[in-house]
Amino acid sequence: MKRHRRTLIAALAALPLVAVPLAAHAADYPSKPITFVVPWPAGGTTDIVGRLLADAMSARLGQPIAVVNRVGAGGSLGSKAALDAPKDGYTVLVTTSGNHILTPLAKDVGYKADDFVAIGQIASRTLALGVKSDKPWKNLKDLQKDAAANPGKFTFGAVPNVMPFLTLDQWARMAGVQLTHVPQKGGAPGVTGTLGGHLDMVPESLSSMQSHLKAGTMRALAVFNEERDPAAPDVPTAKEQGFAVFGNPFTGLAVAKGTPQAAVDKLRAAMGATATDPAFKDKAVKAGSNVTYLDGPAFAAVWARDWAAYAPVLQKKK
Amino acid sequence: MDVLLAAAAEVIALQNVAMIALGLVIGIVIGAIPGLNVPLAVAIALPITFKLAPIAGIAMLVGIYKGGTYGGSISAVLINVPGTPAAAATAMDGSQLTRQGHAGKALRMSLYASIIGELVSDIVLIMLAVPIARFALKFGPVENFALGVFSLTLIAVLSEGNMLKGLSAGVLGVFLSTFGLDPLTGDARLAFGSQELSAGWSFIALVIGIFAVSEALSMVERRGAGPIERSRVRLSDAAHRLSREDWRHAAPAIARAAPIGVFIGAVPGLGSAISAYLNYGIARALSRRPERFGKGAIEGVAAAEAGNNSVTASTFIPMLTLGIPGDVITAIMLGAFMVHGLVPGPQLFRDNAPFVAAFFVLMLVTTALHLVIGRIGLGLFIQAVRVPNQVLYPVVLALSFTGVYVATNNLFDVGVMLGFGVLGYAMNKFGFPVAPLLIGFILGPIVEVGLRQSLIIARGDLTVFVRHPISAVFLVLGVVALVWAGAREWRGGAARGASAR
Repeated sequence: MKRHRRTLIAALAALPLVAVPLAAHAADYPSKPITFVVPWPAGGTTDIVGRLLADAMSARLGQPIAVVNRVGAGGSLGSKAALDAPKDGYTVLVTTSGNHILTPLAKDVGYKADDFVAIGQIASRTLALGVKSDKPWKNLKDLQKDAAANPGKFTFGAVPNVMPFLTLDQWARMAGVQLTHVPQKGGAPGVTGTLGGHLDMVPESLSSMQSHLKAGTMRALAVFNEERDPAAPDVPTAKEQGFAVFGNPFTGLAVAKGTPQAAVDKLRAAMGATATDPAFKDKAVKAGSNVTYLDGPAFAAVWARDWAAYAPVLQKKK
Repeated sequence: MDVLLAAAAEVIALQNVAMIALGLVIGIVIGAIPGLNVPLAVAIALPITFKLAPIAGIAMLVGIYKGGTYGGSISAVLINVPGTPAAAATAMDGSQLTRQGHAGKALRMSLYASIIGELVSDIVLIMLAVPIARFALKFGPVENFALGVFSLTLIAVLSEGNMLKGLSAGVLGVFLSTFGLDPLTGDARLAFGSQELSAGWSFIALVIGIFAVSEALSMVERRGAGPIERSRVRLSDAAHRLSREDWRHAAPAIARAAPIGVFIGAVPGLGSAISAYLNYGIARALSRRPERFGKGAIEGVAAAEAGNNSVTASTFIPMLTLGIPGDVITAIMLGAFMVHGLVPGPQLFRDNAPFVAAFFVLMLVTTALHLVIGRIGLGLFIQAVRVPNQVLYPVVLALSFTGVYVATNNLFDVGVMLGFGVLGYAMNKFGFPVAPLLIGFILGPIVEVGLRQSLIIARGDLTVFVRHPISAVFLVLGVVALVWAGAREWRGGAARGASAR
């Protein structure tokens, strides 16, 4: 017994030796490379912004940041992977409205928005409705008239149950028309299909069709913002045309709840400094994303707002 | 022309050439290591290129892309383990040539066929980018479905003499491709509640399992014995050089494979693996000695390699002219362009003409350097045939385990690799070919998505597939291929029956 007690005392005495390095570890953050998990395909808007952020933040944090695309299941595979990784701040989720709000609302994917801690919002996108330029429609009213006369005739390409889909769906219901949904695997294939004449229209982010708008091969009938987007000042908002429909998908960073506060603070500081850096903003704008930075608490508030807004629509589909 | 000359001067600057060479070396090595794939290498190198001038950064990425697409063939030829999924078609005949003591022939042919494919692809990109892009856009769901169906009929062509087992393997491949997420609705299929399986079977784990692990298992069974070259292997030996006869068989295969591959590269969403298999199948269908395929036909290596490398410039056609990335690699490259403030799309040619010209020259310089670096590499790589199997296969297995883990970040996929290793071993043992399984697995989703999207657009009207002219042509070709393969099988069966009597 006595020997046992001595072992116990020795073990207890040794504890600080283990605990001190652990504590130092959290304060040292980051002491090894960080991974950004992008739950969407490489080359998409989210991926490009994620990679830009990774590059700029890696310089500020002094550690390399690897970007990993974990694609599938409406972004839930990547989100779940980020949630299940060790909660040490070395796995950061590049999160969007899709994987953060819409997917967990529509399906039981094993996480909710508030299972994460917000680091910050980097961008919110402008959605536009694009058509090939040989279509007769100049605005939403033209489309409404034509589509009302031909129910179900016109097709649109969109990933099911994500913001572009929901936004156009909401418009169609408000306009009282029936459009045929052709499910897509991503935003880019929808734009390609529209350009190729295989689809009649595509609701997508303005940036992904911007080069086609400038080249005159596509036309945007509306943007679904409160105000016109400075990047395309000629395109009227849906609201101006009498349809109060809005959709602004966000992109930002999040970590799993339970991550040490020291790591969260470091990440927030690095992101804030990056997002307000003019050189970074310039790169982001060139890559097609306007920086609309929100800090952690403000970003968390956006999550709560969107969760409440879309819950009635999506949970009905379950 | 002036623009191209000015661009040439810029590209040939020492820094750019060095970046291309560095990219090629990285690409060839990563391509040759099973599991480490090209998209991974390009994605990792991307942030490094942010720090370089646009053309230097893109030079490195192009080098990695071209080198990596080719590099997979080296391990496919030497150890029957394709370094990239697309090189699995090269392994069919390349590894047989190595077993027969002609590794040098197969390596040389892989390199030269790749270079010819690249060169054709570069030239088409430079001369015909705009019209080709316009034509590629005509490929919608209907056309993709028909192309997929036509490509599936090549399973019958490849299974000649072993029809029942070949077709069974093809069906198994299609079936395996339906696991995981429904590609249109995102619902889990055949996942049995497993989070990992809901992403489907990992293609990399499948390929490495079927080739590397199953090869190692057979090696254990054969007790590691194998012919080993004791002395230094000389690439200049007659056994390792391409004869006039070899070229006579390979030249027509390359001449067909390069343009087909260029076109497949230009259609968004198809890619190098499809091109390699499609061309391998077509080469066999049109060959005057189809019985040699799978037993060391040099034209099989030529068609597969010309097929997979001829996509490497044409994938940039939709990206540069329309701003549409056709595969993962061009998607990452699109990001690289944007970061440097170059927005691909129609106006790139107008606003950044000098850059576009420099990019064109860059593609050509990369191809030329690829020939030089690849040729130097051959003398080194061929020495692998001297490594005893008892040493080689443990190393290959170790690389496979780490490679699959690095590629997918998922221990589950390591288990998947082992499982497919056992399946591949059993298939070899019982005479089931593995190529049809891979073809079925690659084409399954293309056919499925094409069919379902087409029928939504056409509101269930099946005649849409014959009313679209491009689709009708492919379906007719598919019927022709089936009848052809059936007739040859029937005649071959009769001949085999007669000789047996």
